[in-house]
Amino acid sequence: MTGTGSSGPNRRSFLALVGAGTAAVAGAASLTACSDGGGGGSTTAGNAQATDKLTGLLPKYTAYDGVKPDLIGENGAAPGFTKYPTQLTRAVAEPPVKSGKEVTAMTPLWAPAPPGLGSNSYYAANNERIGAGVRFNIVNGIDYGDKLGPLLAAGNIPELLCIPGWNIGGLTRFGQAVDKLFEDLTPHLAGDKVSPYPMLANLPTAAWAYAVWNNQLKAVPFPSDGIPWLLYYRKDLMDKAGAQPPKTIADLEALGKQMTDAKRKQWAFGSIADEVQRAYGVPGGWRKDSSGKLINKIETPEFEEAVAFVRKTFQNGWVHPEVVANASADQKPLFEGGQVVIRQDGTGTWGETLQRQQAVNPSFKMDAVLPFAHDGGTPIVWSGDPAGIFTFVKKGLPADRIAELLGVLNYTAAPFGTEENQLYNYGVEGKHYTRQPSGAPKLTPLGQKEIAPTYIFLGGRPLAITTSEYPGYVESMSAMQNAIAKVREKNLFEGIRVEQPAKFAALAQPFDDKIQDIYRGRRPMSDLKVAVKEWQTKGGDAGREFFAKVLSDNGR
Amino acid sequence: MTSPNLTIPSRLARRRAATAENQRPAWEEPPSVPGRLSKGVILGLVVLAVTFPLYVVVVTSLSSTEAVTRAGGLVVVPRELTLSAYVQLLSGGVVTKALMVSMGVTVIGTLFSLVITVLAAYGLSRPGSLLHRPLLFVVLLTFLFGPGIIPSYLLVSSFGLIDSYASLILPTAISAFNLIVMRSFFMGIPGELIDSARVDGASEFGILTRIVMPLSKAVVAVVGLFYAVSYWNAFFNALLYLNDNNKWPLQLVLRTYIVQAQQLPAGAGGIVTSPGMNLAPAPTLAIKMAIVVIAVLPVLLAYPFIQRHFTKGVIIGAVKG
Amino acid sequence: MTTVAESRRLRRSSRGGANWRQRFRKDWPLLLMVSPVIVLLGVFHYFPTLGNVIAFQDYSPYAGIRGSEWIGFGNFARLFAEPEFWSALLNTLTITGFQLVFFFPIPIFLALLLNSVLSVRVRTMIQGVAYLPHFFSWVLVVSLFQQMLGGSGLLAQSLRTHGHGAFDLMTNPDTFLLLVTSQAVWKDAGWGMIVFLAALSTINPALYEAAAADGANRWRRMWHITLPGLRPVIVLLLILRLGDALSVGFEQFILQRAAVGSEVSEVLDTYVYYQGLLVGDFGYGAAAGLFKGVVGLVLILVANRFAHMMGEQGVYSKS
Repeated sequence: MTGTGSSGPNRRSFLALVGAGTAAVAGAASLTACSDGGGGGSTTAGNAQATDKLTGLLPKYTAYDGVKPDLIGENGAAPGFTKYPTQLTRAVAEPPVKSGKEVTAMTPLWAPAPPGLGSNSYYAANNERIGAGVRFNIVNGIDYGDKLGPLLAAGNIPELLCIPGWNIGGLTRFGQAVDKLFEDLTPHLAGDKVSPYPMLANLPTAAWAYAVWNNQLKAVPFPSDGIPWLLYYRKDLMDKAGAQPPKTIADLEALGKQMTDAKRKQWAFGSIADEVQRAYGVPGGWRKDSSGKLINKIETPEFEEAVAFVRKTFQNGWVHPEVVANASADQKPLFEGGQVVIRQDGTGTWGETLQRQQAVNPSFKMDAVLPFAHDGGTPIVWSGDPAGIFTFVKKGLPADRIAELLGVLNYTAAPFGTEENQLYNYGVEGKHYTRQPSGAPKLTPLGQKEIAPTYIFLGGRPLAITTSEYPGYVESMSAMQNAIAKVREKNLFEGIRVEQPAKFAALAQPFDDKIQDIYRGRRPMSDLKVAVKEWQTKGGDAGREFFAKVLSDNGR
Repeated sequence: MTSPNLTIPSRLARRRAATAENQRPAWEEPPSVPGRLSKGVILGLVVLAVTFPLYVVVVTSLSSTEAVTRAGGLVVVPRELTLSAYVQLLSGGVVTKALMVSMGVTVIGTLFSLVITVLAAYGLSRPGSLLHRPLLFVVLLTFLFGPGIIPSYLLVSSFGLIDSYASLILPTAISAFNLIVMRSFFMGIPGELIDSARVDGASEFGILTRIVMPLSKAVVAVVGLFYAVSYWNAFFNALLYLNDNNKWPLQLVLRTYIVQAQQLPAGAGGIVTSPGMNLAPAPTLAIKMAIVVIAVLPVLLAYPFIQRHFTKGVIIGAVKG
Repeated sequence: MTTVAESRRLRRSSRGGANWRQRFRKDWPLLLMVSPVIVLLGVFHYFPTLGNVIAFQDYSPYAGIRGSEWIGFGNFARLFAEPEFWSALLNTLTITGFQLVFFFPIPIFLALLLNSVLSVRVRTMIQGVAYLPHFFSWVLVVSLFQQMLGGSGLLAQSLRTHGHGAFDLMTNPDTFLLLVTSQAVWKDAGWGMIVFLAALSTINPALYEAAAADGANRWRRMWHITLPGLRPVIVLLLILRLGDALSVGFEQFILQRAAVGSEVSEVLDTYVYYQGLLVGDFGYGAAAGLFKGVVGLVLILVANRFAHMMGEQGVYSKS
């Protein structure tokens, strides 16, 4: 009875706002798809890319050796930099946009809105190196999907359009949109054709493979580390209690008892379900049994063990009540406030938390648990997407304009340690930022006002672990990533972009509801079998056939 | 209601009514003690239930990162209060402009919506008038069936309204709810008043402005409030229809502060938008609460002016039975 | 107050022999006044609403409505075939029914109570804050309730420190109906009160004085003067609420889904969200939207007829 108009917040953006969208989508995808961390694409029909035609489409990899890391990343782990370089390398000699014609672009924004082109000296400094102004249409990251849908339907798109992977799931028939609206980059970048763009040639091949739609190279990818979860713990609180990080599920159980003290408002666990599943050896998506039949993660005996364990943590009161009440509650304040000791989250959380807590709580210490198996044996780690965000070029532009636009993306692909990277991240030294004793840039008031992460959403650059101002962070993260890279699960669908059918995707939520009921004791453990059966008959078996066909089409 | 004595209340009469209501009228019996007591308890609880959470919101918006961390969420016990959330929100380069846009859209939009709603509500409120039933039905149906986002976008875009302020007003200018409520109030005005004005030769427009409007200040104020609040808090039209960030209204700018210092969704896999940038001196939760306060504040300021029109007995003297 | 008899009389007089042109000559100023709203609604509401025909399609925005495949009632058939849909519908109607009884009257009661307070200052002050929670988002409302009544909230924590067993009011499926209703009351009762306060201000105080002179006490005056004065607005809002019977909220239920389980918290809007919109199946979502609209329309028509039988005006009069 509010009497207000119909301009309320849209549902999808609401979920993103409370953080539920990402968790729900990621959880749903890991449940059903091939560890498609971002939710993958979905159409009512579903389709998949044939992998073995890929090789001819992708740019030839040529490493850029202008900047040397301190810690090597092997098997796909990111390299680490234990200090900020004092000398920056210039990677792009000439401004790429020779015509000087303004470039239009649309990107999500994860920061306060900056002043626009013409009243922003940070933009001006970058645009000078690009050779033309980049006119950003920036949209709040949580609302981005809502704007993308109508924009794509109307075909009303800028020259460069950034589309994050997690938005693709809600865009119906994305494959058709890609065909209709975006330029095929294969003739411009495949094989040696990438050589005019050395920064693009420096992007990992696995990430490029993920930018293929309908057998055409369609986008410049934003590489990601492909690590869905880390299990974080409050090192300071564990040290105080004389507790060690867990190496087995039995250790984790003991910690549940030891670290929970409800009277002092401290609980051992936040969300840990995915990490428990991983520890029991549940696959990230599908696996083949001995007869070659595809088995979904939820159908495995390991999954049942994991559910039983998580149920036990709930029943024993080891899980924070706010997490019990809201599976997608914002657990960061709880963890940082010491109310939750152990919780899972993405890799980005680590640095973000340190950044926030370092200033206010000197005794704050956090670390991540090295991946362990439930019995102390060899663990697995799920492999996530090798690229999470994509930048598309509008279809139908003249070839020389496309070359200019790829030049812009080449500029924004310059890696850590280059002048360009420093400029598009922090602006001009002395003006937008100064250097702290650690070498880390610190924004000036002007920098805080003008700088927003905009250029970084145009294309991507190789990942690097760089924030060495947090003592020990780069070393820990580098060790973690190298350890994970060694035990990474072989994904059956690696390099294949699968758009799962909508009906199959829709199975995820009803199943997850039942699991949440079992965790919280509203259903008996025996209901798991019923839920799995229901999942199978309602479309899980059809999904199995769909995915099996994808594999056989690709000769796997 | 026979032979009504038709006069519109003078300002003086209303003021007299307002001062009179501080005291119990002579004809009213003295309130009973248990009655007063239970009334006091209930109203006291209502006030407490509303003001305590509000207090929590305000205190949290004034809290430092440390206080928010220690509370592990919303702050109840204030310690080291700071204005940093508000400073950060209002010192951004684009906030002042956005504030002007929001105020302009709210004022112009509310006036526009109110005028056409009053006109239509009156036009549909005369019993037996031509086509009033089908037209009312047309309005009522909009309450039940709404357009999807994509068709609306295509329409606004085909009118060339993308990046225009009109796109923030026209698509959601009419609320069927408001129109129907207002019509119902208009129908409550004694028919004799209107009939006799018509006999005196007044036009329909004249009846609306000289008879109906002065008697309907309360509902006009309420509907105006509803419209103003929806314009002030709206951001979705702006999100869809404005590509030029310089034209954003306040709510859309404020929303960009909510996401700052948050990591990207899980699918991003370790991508950090601002490595070590120290962008956010104020904690996100304080910022969020400050945004709530900013949304409420204009209403809090405007409400007393609206409330004035709820004075008991507007029709006093108008109808002497 | 126009009575039903009066409007009937007018209708008869206008139909009896008088032709359409004559009525137009009399009523054209009224039609002119309505026209801006009709034009705006036609262009910005009805025209895009036609897009809901995708409910009968396997819709692709890139093929457009013309290029998408028509599948008749396929989306509806899918909707009605799901037992989960029916259980979500039942939950929705239960919540609507419960809130009609335990939420709907509260703003009226509050308005009456406030109206009876003599001191202008007290009344102004209470009015001035009571509506504020309306401006809190559901995220904030739910987390405020959590921090007060949840398992780690103020109440549970103080029970713990005093050595009592803690309890958690937020995760009990049996009391969920009560919980969501009290959240809704807290958030919107004060805001809903405003319309009734406006309606109260239109009641002629002279009537009270006359009734008192006739010996009517406080309660009789409320029964015979105040409530009849409010009745048209109450009936109107009740009917409109019925038209919205299949919407009970969305965010409130998604946020508390895990706390009490989907069996009690799944409502129509959340069901459609997970099964249609989240996975990009817009045709399915449009079908559910049309279903809701049709049910709302039927309820409004029935309720309106019922109101007429009770001698009330309802949303629109009989003639």
